[in-house]
Amino acid sequence: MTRSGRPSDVAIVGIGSTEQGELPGRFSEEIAAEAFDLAIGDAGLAKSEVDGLVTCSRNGTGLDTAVGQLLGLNPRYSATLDYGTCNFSIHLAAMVISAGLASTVALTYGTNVRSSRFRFGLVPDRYLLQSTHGFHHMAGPAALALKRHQYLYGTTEEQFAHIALNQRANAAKNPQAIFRQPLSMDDYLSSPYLVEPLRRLDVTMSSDGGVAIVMTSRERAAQLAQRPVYLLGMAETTALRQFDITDHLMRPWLKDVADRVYSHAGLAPNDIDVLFIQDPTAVWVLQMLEWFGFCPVGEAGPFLAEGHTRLDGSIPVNTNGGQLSESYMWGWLHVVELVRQLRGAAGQRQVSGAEVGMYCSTMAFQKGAASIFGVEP
Amino acid sequence: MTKALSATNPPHKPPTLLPDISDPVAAPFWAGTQQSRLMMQQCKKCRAIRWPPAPICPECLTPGGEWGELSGRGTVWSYAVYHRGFHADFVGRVPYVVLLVALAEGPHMISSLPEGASASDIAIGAPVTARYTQIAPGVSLVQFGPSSGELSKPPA
Repeated sequence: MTRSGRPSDVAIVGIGSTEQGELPGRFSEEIAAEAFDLAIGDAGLAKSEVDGLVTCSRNGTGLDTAVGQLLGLNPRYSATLDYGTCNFSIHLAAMVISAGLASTVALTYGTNVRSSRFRFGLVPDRYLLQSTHGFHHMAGPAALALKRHQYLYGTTEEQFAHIALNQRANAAKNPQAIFRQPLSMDDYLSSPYLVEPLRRLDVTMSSDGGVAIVMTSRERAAQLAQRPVYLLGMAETTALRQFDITDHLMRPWLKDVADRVYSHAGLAPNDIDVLFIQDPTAVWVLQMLEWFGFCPVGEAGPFLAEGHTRLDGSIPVNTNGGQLSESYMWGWLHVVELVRQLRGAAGQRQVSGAEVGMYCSTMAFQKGAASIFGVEP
Repeated sequence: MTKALSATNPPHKPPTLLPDISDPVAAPFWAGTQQSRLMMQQCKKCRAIRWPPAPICPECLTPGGEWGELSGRGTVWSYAVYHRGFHADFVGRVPYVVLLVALAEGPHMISSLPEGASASDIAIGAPVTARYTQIAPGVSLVQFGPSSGELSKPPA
């Protein structure tokens, strides 16, 4: 395996993504099914060769029983996760394959959150201890964490802006991206705040669309159409102690995820060629650059300003444009782009010689996960 | 004890996002704010002060807990200014400030600035003191304002 990482027994062999943006009149499972069809086509598989299904549910839609029924499947293994980011779904599929419960697993996510006008951030907390103060939407805790980061480390608005600016520059080279018009530093600094110090440009859009991924064993992968993208390492954490723990919003609990994913893969930060960080807000990128060891804790601001995360930098981040500029697929499109990069099929966005990619994500401030993937030279 | 702000504030439409003050787990907290007191649970066994309210101690799993009054003093861990109201109750209130307060006794809690205070009145690390604002009959919020000095404008 490339760069002496551990041998891997599962790989991504197919990816599919539907049109992104507004898909009025279509329901979530239908969109997921279209993505499934695209992904098995990409892998060169027939529907009958898929014996596992892992779906991702939002607002009660997208259950495996509903998606599987629409697809006309009787899978040997089938399950639903009701939270996104794709990392958790990938880890479940890898465990299913390794345990022998199924050999070829399709993972799906489909949503119509935009055309159905789903309102984010209005689920009240138990006892309304926070909601009654107007503490709504993920932008709230993200803004508290960013303000604290500015206070502790002197991070400036200009430094932080580079996350949104880089991702927009990448999206301009991505035909699938929704927001492709150029964005300058002046544009950014004159744009409105959403929850200060966080601006609207730092927060994910809302969009309809579907994504699917096919994973299988190393043996089966060798027989298929696409260059296998092997899962080299994975790690997760669930951090449920919340504001009673000092600094919880700074996510120090991700350091443990980082240590374990690198250890599992037998790799280190400087082995990563291309990096994906799920971005409900740009604060996720700021924090994870630090906790995953690409710069020391507190130094993500200067690190961003020096251009390291740009397409031509030392560690390109979110080459697809991410959820700030490409589309909001709950992290799933980050994985699609990672696979494209390692296949050498990312077109104008291709990172030269990309052989190892990492994807880091968190579900709100509660769960964290990371996966490292690689290809054989 | 800091004087409570006027119970006739605020001059907004009545809020619809209101806690169930009869819920047994959190009822003593809401009864406390109604009397301008900040109440939390303390574990009878391990003495951990618990926030948010819960039926068992998350440290040692002992059921129950004794309710007691805190000093109402703390420092600002961080704060943020909402420029958009995501819930109808808050649409007419923007800009408003939410803060995370590190209480002197240890727990951290989400709160907001009282009427008349603005972001320029506080800073991360600055001391803040509990103030109480009635938002509906029988329901008061504990908010936190600067411990010293005047608010940037007096309550309406």
